Amino acid sequence: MPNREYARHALIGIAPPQSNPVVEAEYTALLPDGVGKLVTRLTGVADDPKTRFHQYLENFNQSLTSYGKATPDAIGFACTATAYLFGTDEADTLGAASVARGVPILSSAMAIQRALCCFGAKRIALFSPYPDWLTTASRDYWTGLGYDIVSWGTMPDDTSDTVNIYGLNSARFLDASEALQTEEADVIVVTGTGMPVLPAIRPLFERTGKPILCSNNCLAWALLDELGIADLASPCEPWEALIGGWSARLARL
Amino acid sequence: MPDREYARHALIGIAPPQTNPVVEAEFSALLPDGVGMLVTRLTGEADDARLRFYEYIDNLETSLKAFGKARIDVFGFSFTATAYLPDVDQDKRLAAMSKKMGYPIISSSQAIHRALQQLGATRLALFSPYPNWLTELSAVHWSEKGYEVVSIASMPEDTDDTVNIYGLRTESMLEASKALETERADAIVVTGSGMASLPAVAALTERTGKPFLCSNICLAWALLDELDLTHLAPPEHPGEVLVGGWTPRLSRL
Repeated sequence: MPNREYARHALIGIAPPQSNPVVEAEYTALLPDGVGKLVTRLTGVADDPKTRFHQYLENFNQSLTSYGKATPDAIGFACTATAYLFGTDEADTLGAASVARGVPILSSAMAIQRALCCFGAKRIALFSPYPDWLTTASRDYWTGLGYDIVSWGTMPDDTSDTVNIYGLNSARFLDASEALQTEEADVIVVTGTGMPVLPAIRPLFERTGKPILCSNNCLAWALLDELGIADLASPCEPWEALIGGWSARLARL
Repeated sequence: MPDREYARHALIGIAPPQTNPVVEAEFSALLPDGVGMLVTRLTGEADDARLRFYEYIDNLETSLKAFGKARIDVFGFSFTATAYLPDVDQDKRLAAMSKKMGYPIISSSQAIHRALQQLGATRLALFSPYPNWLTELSAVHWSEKGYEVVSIASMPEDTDDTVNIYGLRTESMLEASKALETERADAIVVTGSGMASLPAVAALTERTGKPFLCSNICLAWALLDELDLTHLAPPEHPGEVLVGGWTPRLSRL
């Protein structure tokens, strides 16, 4: 039992991209009672999204230094795109930081892969809020890991500046996701941490009957799983995949 | 109505000191439904606590730039002690930063002052988790603000390294606060954002009959008040003052 009044089960560090307002909100719902979160931000000054994504990695140690002497039990790198774009840079950066701090550090993409393994899923219906170049990179990434992308869809909105993703909403996502062909898919994967997804999970599940994995529910679950406490948040609704209890908390967001 | 799915009423920026694990926990209970929170951290490298406090405000612009293009409605400088250092001129510096960034900035000490004004309180029973030198400065600060500090008490634990404050427990605080003479006080002020205080509120209020104000309660209320949103969080449970509705949410922490 840690010597702290709050976060009696675990204290989780979360690092969302600097402008991203969705990660902290969704984690507020996703994390179970007694699991606290400490936030630091991934930072980059470049206007070009791809360059900025790499700066999130380059500056990651600085992001972690912002925790001072705080000691999260596990840390989530809450950005998915870095895995798609830079070869092994993300794994190398997070691996080195994990060794240096002595705590597990998982990225959103690592968490999605872990979730896919947990489900034994091989065939993915992939939905992306990204601009085309990043959607293509995400498809290549999952295909390269051996998954079969049976269908993919994107948002109709202009997200060439990826900051625009944060202004998307789950109702439009639900509409756009009708283009996905999900019958042959084992699961639906919604990539990216910056589009609100949680409110869409129930109706999308009811429409398709498929588990819905998104970057935030996968990473929240993976961090709990890494700490051996996933049982604190067992799914309690049919549409809650891997991690549960959050549906009743959506009204807080 | 802001163009965002979450935080339909307001999006509040919060900056706790780098190592502080209490602010985010208590704000997650204090803020009402539909009011979101984005976190950045106050940073400093100095081992000496006093020097580090200076760094928190010297580095504030860097902390704020970590929000990238996120658009917060108001910002809370969730740290109390800088106001007590006589040579910092915190209020003037925060006002200049507010003008530069284009959103209101309120510190914990400003919030306590605002709360005391709201309650019409002039006589304080002051409780501090600080080391002696900082407790003395805090008493001087409130006296110079025109308040009568009718009683002072502090924690028995060694908090020379102020990071130790984050490990204090409310049971210990409730015990130590018995040394406070509260009969002549209009309010009990618990200074500092890093000691877990919310679980002590109902018990201490019941014992003393006096309103309980701590840095985090005051700042959460002041930020809502600045945005004319206090009606979203009316006090409704025993001990809740100014901001309410949080007592049932303590079990989440």
